[in-house]
Amino acid sequence: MSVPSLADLTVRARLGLTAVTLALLVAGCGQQAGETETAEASAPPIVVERQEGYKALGASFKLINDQLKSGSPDMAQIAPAAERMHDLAQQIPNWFPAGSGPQDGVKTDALETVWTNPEGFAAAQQRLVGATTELQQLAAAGDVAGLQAHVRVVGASCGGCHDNFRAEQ
Amino acid sequence: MASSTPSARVRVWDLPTRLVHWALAVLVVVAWLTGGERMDIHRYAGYGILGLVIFRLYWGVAGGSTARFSEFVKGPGAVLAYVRGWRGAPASFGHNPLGALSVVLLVVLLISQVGLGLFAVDVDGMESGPLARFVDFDAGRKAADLHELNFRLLQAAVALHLVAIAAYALFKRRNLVGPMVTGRDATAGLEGELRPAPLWRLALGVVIAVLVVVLIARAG
Repeated sequence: MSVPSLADLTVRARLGLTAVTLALLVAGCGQQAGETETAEASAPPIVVERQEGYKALGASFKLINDQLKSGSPDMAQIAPAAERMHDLAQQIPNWFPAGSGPQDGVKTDALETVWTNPEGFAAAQQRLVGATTELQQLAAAGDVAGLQAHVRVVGASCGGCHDNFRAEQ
Repeated sequence: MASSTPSARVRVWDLPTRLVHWALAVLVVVAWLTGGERMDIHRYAGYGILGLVIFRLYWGVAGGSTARFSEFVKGPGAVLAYVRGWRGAPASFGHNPLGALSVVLLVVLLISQVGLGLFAVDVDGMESGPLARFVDFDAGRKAADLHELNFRLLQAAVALHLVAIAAYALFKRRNLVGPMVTGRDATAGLEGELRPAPLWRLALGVVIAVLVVVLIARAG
């Protein structure tokens, strides 16, 4: 049995090879992203805490949006997620103590404006608290159409704050 | 099929191949400009690209002769020989062995780009791809990061593609853009014949592509 040379490979095999190469490349990138995460884990505890807080906010909001996009939204899942968002939104002011900003040499996506424009930041946070209060009420009422319209308001309050107080990704 | 061509301009690319090429060019730019800004448009651009890539893969085995992977994808030996004799190499009918690699690279990058986009979730948890509800927030965020990174690779591949076209125009006086628009190539000494695919194959490919896109879009 002779060993086939590269030139003898079938087109399918060659395409397969290319796909495998790319998969490895993407896997390599994934690993890099993983390394970044490890670096974040060694960040100051308060930065880790607020990152976890925002991830929990995002995860809860994703759950609500996933439910609303499905044919039959489950209020038993939406209601606790809305409550969690509301709780987290109220905790936000505790996540940004003095000394935890980029101006203090901390590696964070939070912008200095969080500390230089505290009124603006508080207003943005209150906007989210208000939006998630209504989200809870709509979930409690089982108002699917109302929720579908209101998630846009909640999303806008996330985005509005990210525009002014978080580094562009 | 009418074969009343007046000049020596020979048919090189069939219409579906050209349409897919230019539609991809337009939709990739649209997706680029709307990513992170107008996610409603971005989503439809992505669905369009998905359908076009599915069709192109199908057309690569069922389409006109110059669109078929088996006709133009060559082994490393042929590619190397082509590169070594690049300045003097006669004009290829259809893709040359090096250009074939570019096609494969672009298709693979487009597949990974769309594939990652299907699972991507934005930082707020507001916008997401149609299949993102099958993964958790963290996985969706990772998909979004890789979607961004893979796009840089795609940009680089497109840039290389454009540089290559410019190089052929500059150093070999070969117009590659015209034939991709008209389907016909006026380059002297071209040897080959486009064997077009029957219409039913085109129809089948469109049905397959549309069906897959609709199924994926409705999953979300």
